[in-house]
Amino acid sequence: MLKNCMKLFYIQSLRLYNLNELRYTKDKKKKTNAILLLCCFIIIGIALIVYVGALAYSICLVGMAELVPAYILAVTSILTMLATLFKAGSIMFGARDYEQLIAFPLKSSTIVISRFLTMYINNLIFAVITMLPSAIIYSIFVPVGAIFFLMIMISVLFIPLIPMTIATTIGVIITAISSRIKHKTLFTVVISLIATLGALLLSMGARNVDQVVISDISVTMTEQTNKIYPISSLYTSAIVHGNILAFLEFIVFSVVLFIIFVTIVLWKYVSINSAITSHATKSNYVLAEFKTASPLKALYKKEIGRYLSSALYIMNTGIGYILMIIMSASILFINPDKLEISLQISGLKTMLITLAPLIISSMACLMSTTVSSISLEGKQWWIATSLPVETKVVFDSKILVNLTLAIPSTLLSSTLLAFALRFDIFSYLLLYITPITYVLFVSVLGITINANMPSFNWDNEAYVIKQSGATLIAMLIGMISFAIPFILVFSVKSVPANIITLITTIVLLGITGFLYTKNNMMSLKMIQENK
Amino acid sequence: MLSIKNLTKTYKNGKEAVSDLNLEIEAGDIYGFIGPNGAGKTTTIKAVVGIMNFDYGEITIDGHSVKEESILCKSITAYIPDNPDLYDHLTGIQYLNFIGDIFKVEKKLKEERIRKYSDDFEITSNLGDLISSYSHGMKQKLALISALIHMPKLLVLDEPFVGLDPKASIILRNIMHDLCKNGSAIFFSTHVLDVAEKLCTKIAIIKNGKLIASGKTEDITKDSSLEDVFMEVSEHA
Repeated sequence: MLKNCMKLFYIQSLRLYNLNELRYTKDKKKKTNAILLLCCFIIIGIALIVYVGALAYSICLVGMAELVPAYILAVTSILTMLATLFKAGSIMFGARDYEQLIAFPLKSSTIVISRFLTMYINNLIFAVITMLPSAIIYSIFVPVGAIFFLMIMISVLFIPLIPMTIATTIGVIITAISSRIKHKTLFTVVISLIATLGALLLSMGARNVDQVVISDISVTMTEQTNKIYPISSLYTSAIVHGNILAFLEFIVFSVVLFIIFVTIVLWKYVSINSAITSHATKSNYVLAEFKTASPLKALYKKEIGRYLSSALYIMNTGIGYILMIIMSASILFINPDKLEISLQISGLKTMLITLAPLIISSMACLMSTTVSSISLEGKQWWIATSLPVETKVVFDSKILVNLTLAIPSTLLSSTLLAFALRFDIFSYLLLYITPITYVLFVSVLGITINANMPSFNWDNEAYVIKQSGATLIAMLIGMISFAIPFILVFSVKSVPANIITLITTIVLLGITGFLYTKNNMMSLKMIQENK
Repeated sequence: MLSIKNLTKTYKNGKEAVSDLNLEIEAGDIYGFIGPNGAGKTTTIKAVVGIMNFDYGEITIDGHSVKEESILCKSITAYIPDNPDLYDHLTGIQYLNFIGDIFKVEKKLKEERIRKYSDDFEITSNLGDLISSYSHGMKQKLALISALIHMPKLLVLDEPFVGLDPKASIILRNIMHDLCKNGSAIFFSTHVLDVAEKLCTKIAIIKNGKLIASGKTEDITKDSSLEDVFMEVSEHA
């Protein structure tokens, strides 16, 4: 079984990471793109290592070094869980190669484990990036032996198992129930949203340390960490106190939980997949009166339909807007003055007033629908390329989908903040203009990136929506675009924050206009050749 | 109606898919394009319908260059690939309406044509179902109806008979004849030589990207069958 499982994993990895294309292509552009993508991965990896290292260092500096392994474990596990939650259902089930694989003389468990393995590798890399630097920082402050590093090395292999198992189980349950429900997408979105907000609220609980006197903070944080992620205490006992029994318990618990999960999934694997791949048809349609629409409206309706047909697409691109509205509403309903006192952050209200346009912008440009909208056409891309419409019309219909989501959410958030905080006229204007500009920027940028890095040959939309190079690069550029003005506001004190925000807005408008014009000059048929 | 002059397409890996290909298809022609797998049929078809670039040569549809006036050419052409992957999230009727709107077909004409062809292909009752629930044959029928909504001057089909049941194949053949009587031209690839021989007014045989025979069907076959001619020219070319 293991041999077949590895073969399936190998085949999936070839597609997931485009390894074969990189190996065999003679196209220099593709190789350059791949190298750029690798550089992005390395930059993000280094940034994460620096961030985790700094976090561990600051915890050690305040004399709470013992908390580091458990705290980093809890943070890693929660993030792994959140990242896996959205994609687990669609990776485990509903993949296009399911019918082909299930017809092979393979055990269902082989297919299930190979799918799990595909997600595991990504999460393992993440665990290595977070756990190893924090362990090194910890060893600087606390004398440790070789056994400590050995335990860390071994435990890293098992760390992703529990959060992945929990997230995948939730994902599987959602998929199983939704496969029997008429409005599958709506159900999946609502449940996933509740699960995500629950996980976020849980993780925010760790920060409620304001009422604790400093001498008790270590104890309280340990308690909070254990509350968020109960297995952390076992991990602390194993790693910090060198308790071999606790270490073995941690590993056994992870593996047993995983085995129980595989058993449960296997029990219903074929029936859930059958429910997903079979369709109830009415076959009683009677032609009614027809309506007509312009090509742009027809394409837009088609794009909206595509968007609403995928829970993963909605969750991945809509979460930023939901968080943005929740944040703005929180600031309105919890008086900013009280927030300043309860969070013990002096000047919080002034900071919010200064940075409000940029804060809303940063959430509005978390993930645009356009980044994957071309790739999501997949094998149906021939339709768009053979239609008698200009490139501009096709791209505009995709941009309009993102604007339909982003503009109302952004306007609502800006209005909530406008009521919550007192701005001058200039700031009021920026509160609306800057986020809208960012929304336009990411929408157009998404098309630029996806048109240059399309991926049409996918078996599972999760690869395009969550794991493609285009998504990664868009996230990176989006982050840079709002990090620059943030840094400038804090570092260039001689220039008022409003002026920096205004200049950023003007520059972004210019870039957006340039990219929009350049995109519309592309030929749709050339995009196919960029893949 | 369709003129292909010196068409050459080389892929990025250096492989020449089509080399110096010349074809003339006139209004009223049902032009069969045959050749072994990998001969360059689909590449030629994709270049004609404007979804693939080509290196050299010129393709014109009704006198308009597919490179210079691609939108105009597309608006008078209809294309169906060998494996019609349609928008799974739409219902059949939504897809047909979508295509009708893109080709700016008048409401009344759109309704008339959808009613006629969906009744002919016997899928009217399925038009309210999601395309994802359709069989391969039903998708093929839906793609064919969508290609006929704007009454194209040039209908380009890649293996149109694959997946169709016998009755639908006969209906398609009748539709092809009707279209040609009304002044359209049809250019299609096929592996079914029997169908090509009976249906096509003209035939072209391609091998390794090069045209090895073309002309009126009766001039090509003479006293033998198309199958014999195909075997002979493809072995000796």
